[in-house]
Amino acid sequence: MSIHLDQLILIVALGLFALYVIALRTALTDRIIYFLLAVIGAILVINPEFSTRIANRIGIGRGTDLLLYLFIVTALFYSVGVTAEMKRLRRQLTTVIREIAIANPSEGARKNPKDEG
Amino acid sequence: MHVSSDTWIVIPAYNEEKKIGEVLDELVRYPYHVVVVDDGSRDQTRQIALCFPVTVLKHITNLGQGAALQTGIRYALSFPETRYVVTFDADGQHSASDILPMIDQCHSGDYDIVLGSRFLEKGKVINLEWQRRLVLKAAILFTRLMTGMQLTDTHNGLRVLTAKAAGKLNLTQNGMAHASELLSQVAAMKLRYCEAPVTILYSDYSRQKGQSLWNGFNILWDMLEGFLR
Repeated sequence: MSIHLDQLILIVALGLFALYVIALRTALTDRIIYFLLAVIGAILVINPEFSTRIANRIGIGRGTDLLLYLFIVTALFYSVGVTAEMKRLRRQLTTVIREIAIANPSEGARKNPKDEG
Repeated sequence: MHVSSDTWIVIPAYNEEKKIGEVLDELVRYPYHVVVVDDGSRDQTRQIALCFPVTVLKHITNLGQGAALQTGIRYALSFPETRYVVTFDADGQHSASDILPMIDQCHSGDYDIVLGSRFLEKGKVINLEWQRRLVLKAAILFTRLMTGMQLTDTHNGLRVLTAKAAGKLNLTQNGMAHASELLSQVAAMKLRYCEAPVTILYSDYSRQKGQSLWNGFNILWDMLEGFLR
């Protein structure tokens, strides 16, 4: 089974994506990527022939297919970002609730009432 | 010997009003300190616990058993004389009499952590249905692969930790994946561990409250999400 160029690109892209998500993400790099995706998206929409040319170069059918793939990538990227943010928020919430718990211990009934007034 | 007030029992509890009284009744016969972490229960768990000479901490909203455990451990370690921290379930599955032998084993073998096991030769498991046994065995295999630890029971809530080891752990998994996370940290920090036989009593109650078998999937998912920055 021979591998087409577009499949190779996809595999490499997925690998890079995974690496990015696990090791390289920062708020700044996320924003840079959003920006780049937006720019690429704008270019492809403004100039449909451009997208068709690129699509043909790498073996995908039409320019709109290219746009679709770009959209899929963007959606995945966005959901990764949201999940990571929720994880961060959960951690912060846990810290707050934990501090409140530890700061307010309740003592249960003791058999020996020697401490009572 | 080592049964003294340097030992804290940490009990995470969520909606355990039916069993917490029984559990605490057994535990307070021993000279341990006990802290119950009420994980946002909506029932009388906290009120019942306060009838016993124990300390009760309260999460104002439910976070999960892992979070409750970490809170209790943090609290126990806030006392400088603490030498052992014991994790213990609130649903009546565990037996208080198993604790002292584990502490002895921890001390005499100079271990950082002693893990309870129901599948060890002298361990006992009562009323375990085959489906749950199968899932537990799968988890054991998975843990062996991921951490290299050869354990016979990877999801046992009864553990004895030295204060030092407990201080090194940091459970970030609030939910059921905390058990796997704990083992991963033990392996990563190369803590000295061993297993001890304990009795686990399954009743209709604990079965109903216990983890659904599909929770294995949830745990796997949580662990994968753990890789996400």
